[in-house]
Amino acid sequence: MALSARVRIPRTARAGETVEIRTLTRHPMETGYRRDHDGARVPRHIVESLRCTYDGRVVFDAELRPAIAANPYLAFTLVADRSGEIVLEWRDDRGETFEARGFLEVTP
Amino acid sequence: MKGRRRLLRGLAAAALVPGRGRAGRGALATLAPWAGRSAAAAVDAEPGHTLRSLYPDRTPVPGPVRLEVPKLVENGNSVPLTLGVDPERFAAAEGPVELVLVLPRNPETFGARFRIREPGQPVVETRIRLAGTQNVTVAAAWPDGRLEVADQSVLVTLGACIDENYEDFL
Repeated sequence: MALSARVRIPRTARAGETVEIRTLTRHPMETGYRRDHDGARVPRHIVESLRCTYDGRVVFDAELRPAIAANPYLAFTLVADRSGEIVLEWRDDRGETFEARGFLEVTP
Repeated sequence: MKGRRRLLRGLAAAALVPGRGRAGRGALATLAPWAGRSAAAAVDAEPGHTLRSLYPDRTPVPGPVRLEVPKLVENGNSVPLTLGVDPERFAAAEGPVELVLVLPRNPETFGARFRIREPGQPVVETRIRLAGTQNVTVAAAWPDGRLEVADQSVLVTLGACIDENYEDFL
C-alpha cells in the first residue's frame, strides 16, 4: 500500500491569523503485535514522521509510533506571518515518503 | 482484598514473562516490551521511565499541559486526542517546545512526540490507540529545561492491539 495523504492547507490568510493544517494519511500503522489467520505475526509497518515547513522554516515535526491510530489524522496550526509555500513530508519505516504542498498567500 | 490483589499481580507477572505459563505463549506474549517486569511494576514505573529515557537530564513535574481526551471510549483503536500548551507562554519561550505522549498501559509506552517551532502553534490533534484503561499522559519539554506533565484517566472498553477488532478500522 503506497503512502499517501489528503491535506487541507488554507490558500489565503491575514497576517497574524492562525490557520489550521489538517492531514489524513492513508496507512495501516501496523503495530507488529497483530497475528494473521495462520497465527503469524503481521510485521510492523508505520508512518514514522511528518514534517511541515512554512516558507522554508520547519514549524512542525512529528515522531510517530504504533500508538497513533491507523490512517493517522494529524492537525496542527500555525500563525500566518508571510506568504510562502507549505510543504508536508511523510516518511514511513520502509523508506517510503510522500509529499504534499500548498501555497499560503498572506495579506496584511 | 489485599490478598486477592497480590494474587492477581502474581498471575499477571507470571503471564507477562514470556515462556512462563501457558498465557506466556498466547496473546500476552505479544507484550514483549514488558518482558522481565511484572505488569504492575511496569505500569507503576510510568510515565517516569519513558520520560527519563527521552529526557535523561530533566525531572518531570506536574504542570499546565493541555490534554483533551474522552474519559470513556468504547473502542481503543481510534481515540481522538488533543495536546498542547499555552500559546502565549510558547510565544514568550523563544525556542521549540516538544509535546510528548506517554501511554503507560500500551505495549509501547512512548506514543508520539511533536516538536513545534514558531510560527507553528503548540496544539496538535490526532487519534491514538489505547490497549486498555490507563492514565493517558502528556508532557511538554520547554526550551528552558522544564519538563511538565499532565494526565487523564481513560476507561477503555475494547482495547487496541489486544482485542481483535482492529480490521474494522482499516
